[in-house]
Amino acid sequence: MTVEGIAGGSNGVSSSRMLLYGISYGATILAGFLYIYGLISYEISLVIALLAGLYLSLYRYNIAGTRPADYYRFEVNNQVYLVSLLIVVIGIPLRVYGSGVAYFIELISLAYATDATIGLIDYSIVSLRNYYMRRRHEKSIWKEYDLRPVPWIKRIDKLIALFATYPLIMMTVFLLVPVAIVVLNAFTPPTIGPGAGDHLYWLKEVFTDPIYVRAKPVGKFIETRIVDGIPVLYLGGARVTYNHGILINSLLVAITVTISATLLGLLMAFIMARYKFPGKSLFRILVLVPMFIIPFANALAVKAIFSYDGIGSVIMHDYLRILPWRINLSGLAGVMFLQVMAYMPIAYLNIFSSLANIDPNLEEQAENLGAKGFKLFRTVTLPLALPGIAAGAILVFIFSLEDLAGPIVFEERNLISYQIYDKLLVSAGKPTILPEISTLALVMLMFAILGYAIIRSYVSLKQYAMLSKGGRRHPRERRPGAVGLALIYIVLLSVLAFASTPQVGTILITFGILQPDGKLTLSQFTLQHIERVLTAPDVNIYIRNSIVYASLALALMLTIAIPAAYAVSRSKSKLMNILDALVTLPIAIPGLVIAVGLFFFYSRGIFRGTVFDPTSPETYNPMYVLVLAYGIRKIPFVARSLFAGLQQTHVSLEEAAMNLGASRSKVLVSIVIPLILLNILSGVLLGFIYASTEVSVSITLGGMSADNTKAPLTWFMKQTSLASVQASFDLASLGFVLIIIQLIAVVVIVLGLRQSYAFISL
Amino acid sequence: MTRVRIEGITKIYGPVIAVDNMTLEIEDGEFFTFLGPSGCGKTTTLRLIAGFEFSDKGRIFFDDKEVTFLKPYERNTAMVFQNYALWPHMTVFDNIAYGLKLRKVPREEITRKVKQVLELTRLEGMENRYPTQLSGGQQQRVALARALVVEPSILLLDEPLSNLDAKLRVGMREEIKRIQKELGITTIYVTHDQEEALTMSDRIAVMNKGKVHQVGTPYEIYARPRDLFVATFLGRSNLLKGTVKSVDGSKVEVETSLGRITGFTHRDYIDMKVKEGSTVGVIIRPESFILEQKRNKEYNKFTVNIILSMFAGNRIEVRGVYNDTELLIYLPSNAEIPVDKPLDVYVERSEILILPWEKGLLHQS
Ligand SMILES: Nc1ncnc2c1ncn2[C@@H]1O[C@H](COP(=O)(O)OP(=O)(O)OP(=O)(O)O)[C@@H](O)[C@H]1O
Ligand SMILES: [Mg+2]
Repeated sequence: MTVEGIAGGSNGVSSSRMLLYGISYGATILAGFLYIYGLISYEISLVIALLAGLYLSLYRYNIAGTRPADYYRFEVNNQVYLVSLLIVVIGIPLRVYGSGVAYFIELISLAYATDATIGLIDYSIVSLRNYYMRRRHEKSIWKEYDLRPVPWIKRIDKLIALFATYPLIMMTVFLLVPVAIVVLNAFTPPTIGPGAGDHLYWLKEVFTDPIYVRAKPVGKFIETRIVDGIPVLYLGGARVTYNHGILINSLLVAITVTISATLLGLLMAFIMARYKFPGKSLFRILVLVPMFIIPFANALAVKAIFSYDGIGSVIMHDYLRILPWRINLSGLAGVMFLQVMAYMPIAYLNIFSSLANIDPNLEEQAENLGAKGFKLFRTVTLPLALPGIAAGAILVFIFSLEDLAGPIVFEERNLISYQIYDKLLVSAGKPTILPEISTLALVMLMFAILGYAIIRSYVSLKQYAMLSKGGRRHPRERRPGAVGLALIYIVLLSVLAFASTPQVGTILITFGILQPDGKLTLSQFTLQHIERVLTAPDVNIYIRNSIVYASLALALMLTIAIPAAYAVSRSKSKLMNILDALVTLPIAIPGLVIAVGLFFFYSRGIFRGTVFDPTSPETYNPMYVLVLAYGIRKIPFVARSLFAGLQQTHVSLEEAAMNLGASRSKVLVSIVIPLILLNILSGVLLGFIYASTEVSVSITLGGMSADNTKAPLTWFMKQTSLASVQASFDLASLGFVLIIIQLIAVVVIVLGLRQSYAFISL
Repeated sequence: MTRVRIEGITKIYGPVIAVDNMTLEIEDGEFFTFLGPSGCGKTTTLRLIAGFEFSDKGRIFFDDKEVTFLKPYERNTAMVFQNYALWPHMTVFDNIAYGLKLRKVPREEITRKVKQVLELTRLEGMENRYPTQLSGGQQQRVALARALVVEPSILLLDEPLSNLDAKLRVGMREEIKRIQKELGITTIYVTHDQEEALTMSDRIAVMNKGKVHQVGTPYEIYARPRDLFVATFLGRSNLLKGTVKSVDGSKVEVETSLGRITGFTHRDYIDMKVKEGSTVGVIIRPESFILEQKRNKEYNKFTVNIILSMFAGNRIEVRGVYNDTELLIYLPSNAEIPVDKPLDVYVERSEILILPWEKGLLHQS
């Protein structure tokens, strides 16, 4: 529960305020206990909680009415209220359709019901009041001065209008419409059978069927067994893989991965941002290694290294003797480990950049006042780095939800992502489509939004604005003592070794040093695998496909991102907030949701039976759909980069040109683009990397043509991950090729363009 | 070259009235300055003239052509920005030549004109440098050169000297004035620095909260302020509140905390805002005080107790108290000032200005 009162510390009112909060929350808690002991029904207790919120809110309005300054404070809490509201909204349907987790969620929703009501009412009152007062004031001025608004046609800047309209249309048609189709489909009732006519039939299915939600899990998550006299720690299950139902599995994985990746990222970022030690510049380069994206190959490598006679297990148990057992990863645990390795760098980058941006004065000030060590970290550094932590955590959470490489390689079918993928492939080319696809996609979308809201609720945008102004010039770096130094090396090396497992493994397999079953074979070093993927026409065609698709997508991204970023940064119109949100939105929508949306979108109406239609394998050419999908999905990366550049260039540079007689378009070409060229280039490189390694849409819609040679590289990598040993070498070698491509991009961005190689900061 | 006529323009940002019903005319070739405290709407006025914003009411004319809704690039004004806004990716030459290239001036012509303007602004030999390789004053001159080279009909300057150090500022002041005289270009200048305004301008518009309080030559503005805001904003002055006892022509007698003071008011206030019994402000400039009366003139006499005396080079700044009212007095630097003793000082009646009282005035002493 969140209790954020009126102006903390204000005197006089405070005792009556305490009483007030006591009464309201007391009532809620009492209702909760009565419900737990079965004395009243859930509905009644919920009503009590809601009434308590209503009472508190109205009463607060009463005292605050005379002190508007206090009243505005409430707005800060909106985000928390949003979360509470979401929980209530989800809690009620769960109750109605009862299930194993319902009881738990009910109690939470009860707890939050009071807050949710307060938030909703506070928010409505404040916004209505603000809006009304402002309008009245403005109207009176306009009347007093007898003003007539300037005709909008004269005011409007044609180029900006055009610049805003085109991205708005593109994002609406190719992003919002497909997602809307998913949502609508999820509520489409079955036409025959038990649930005929029931709009919620599929949702109920998903939330009640034990396949999706199990009250008790099957299998054990951690199990030790003696195999051939060696103790083996089976993570994820020994015989039977651990399974708590598809929905819970997905949440478990996403939450575990988010927390672990964020903590590891924080640890690394803190060391790298705050300590000075020999070899630091080397570590700066090494941290880039786990950042290379190598879908499927990474899973292959991890699976090989952490199998029970894999090299990783053998080294840690038999040689180094750090662990009392060998490790065997499977199922959910495999997915989790893989994702932590893959996404830790995302958390690291975001946290590092926010730590580096903290104004050193703030920390020094706190030290002056006597804060030291962990206390300084907890009270000053951590809160200031929170925006970066939140941004990283949000991305990790969403990436984890939508990840497919892990589930496919570890053959973990009991995850939402796998289910959507599987059902999409089953539906391809068939006239009837499995309806749960949309429902599952909707659930995934809901999880993503919920995760986003929860994480975001702890960080308000205002905090971030304060942060980004901080000086980057004099980073605060401390020199650790001998013990500290040893600790730093141990932490950095072990975290990096852990996180680089996929990349290192991939490289070893590529050169035949490591076998796909995890055995080390130093003597079998060979270049034949890498040579094969570069020369064999049945493999390198996919490299070519992806380069072509990604390049085309990049062109599309630029045509959307440049006008959008320009319009957003240069127009004061409120409409631009929508545009800004639209070009950032694709990060928050899991790729599989988009894939499902596009699947429906392109198999209807004017697209039916054309090159766009994935349900018509004979005519379908994945190029068009993929280019559009990559272009839209990866746009935030390019747009953010451009936006950053535009924010750094002062508007007066453009006004000076206009003033000297340059039209908007001339200004754009001769002033704006040259000034943000570096940002454009780094955006281009990032966009290219993200497009060419895209998974969700590529391995679903990308492989639905009758002609497989048109599929993208990631689709082919997925295929190889399921096939023979030779295919595993192909997969690793392709991963190696991707590593090389990204390495070149990183070098160009960091050294050539002097930009930061960052994923994104929200 | 061009006359600017502003007819009743008003600009509103949400609840803020940035420019409030402004009407004035700027003559051909005039150096015209908008002077006022921060946030009074000077920049907004300039941006309305340049076309970066459109007014919500009223019209703007250049000569007889209405430009109210023309785009910036259709107006042929040239602006010098406070932060100079030099393009960092272009050399000095390219920065300056930009406007000419847009106007499709032939190459040799461009080279010739740029050379000319570089000479005018004393920047010879800098053409191939980038803006980051220039000092603040040089950057400032490049910005000026870039604006001048296109031979604009109006030159707009928004606090162009505020980023320079004090010494450079004085130098650039003369430079700008010299160039403006040489070219005879209509110039609109914005500043909150009164010294700058007084020394450079042909005429000044004093603004506050979006309103123009007075338009006039520097002398008029300083010596004959129309109202208390202008009187207190320019220079330092003693402001006393009082009640009118009698009015005789433009001569007014006022009862104040310092006793009866006789001074003069503007003719059009007489019997309107300044009549028997009305509350007025009495303005006495510190330099108006003298130690000895001359013959044939009428004086107000003040006997003050000196509490503080500070030597300031060309004068002595003295604080004197009479009846709990403090007065700021400038005396010649050779005068002998007895501290903690009463001193008789005199102010000629014609030097004392009586103006209608205004509520909510932020006065400075
Ligand atoms: N784009 C805008 N949106 C909202 N309010 C604005 C905008 N531009 C100016 N204002 C407001 O209009 C008023 C006048 O601003 P303006 O910039 O013209 O002042 P100024 O006289 O140039 O001040 P300064 O000397 O500080 O530069 C101020 O209250 C300012 O906050
Ligand atoms: Mg200004």
